Amino acid sequence: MNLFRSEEHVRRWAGFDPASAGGILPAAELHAKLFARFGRYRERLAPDYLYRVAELSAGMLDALAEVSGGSSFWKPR
Amino acid sequence: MNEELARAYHIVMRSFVDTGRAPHYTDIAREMGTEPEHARLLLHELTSMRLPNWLSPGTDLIASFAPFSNIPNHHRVSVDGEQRWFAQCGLEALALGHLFPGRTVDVASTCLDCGDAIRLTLRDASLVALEPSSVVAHSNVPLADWYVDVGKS
Repeated sequence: MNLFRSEEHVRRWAGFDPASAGGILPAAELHAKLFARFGRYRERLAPDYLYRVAELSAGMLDALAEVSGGSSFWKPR
Repeated sequence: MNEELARAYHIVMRSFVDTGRAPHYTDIAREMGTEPEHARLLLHELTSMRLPNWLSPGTDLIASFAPFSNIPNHHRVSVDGEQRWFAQCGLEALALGHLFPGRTVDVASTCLDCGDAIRLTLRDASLVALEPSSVVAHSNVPLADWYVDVGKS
């Protein structure tokens, strides 16, 4: 997972796989809707984090679907 | 889930935050007051849990432990102006603010296409600055396949 200056830069990148177009997500929205919100990211320093990681991740896939516009690229197996 | 595993996880995360590097399993053993071999086995269990944490292949050495990388890369992380850390990837770079409460976290990365700078500034749960504002994250591997080869995602 890498950062690019814009979607155009991803598509121009020598390593870009056209099948991964759904793998492009805007960083600011990703931060606002996932990384700023979910305990999975917020509570990693809690001593009991590992016990609660599943609970702390609840709703994340819905948020990811929202950020990706429902792309199948971001659906789990 | 066992208590020792949770403790080992916490020791690894704390070590990254405090020093910028992963502990060796003998460090984990010393902190836990256990035998090195027991800590080595715990570390292997910890990195087999379908979390984004893994060892360097064929070794007992932590390569990456989200959101940190133990291998220097192009996602350089500074806290209050001191560069000591590396982010696991572009995605996990966005999670770093939470691990340094009340401090300013700067991520200096580069675009793989043009080589130009990308900068993020985080403070707690806020993304304070993003340059350029058009920055995107990209995975070449669908989420469903991340744990087949997470290093290539």
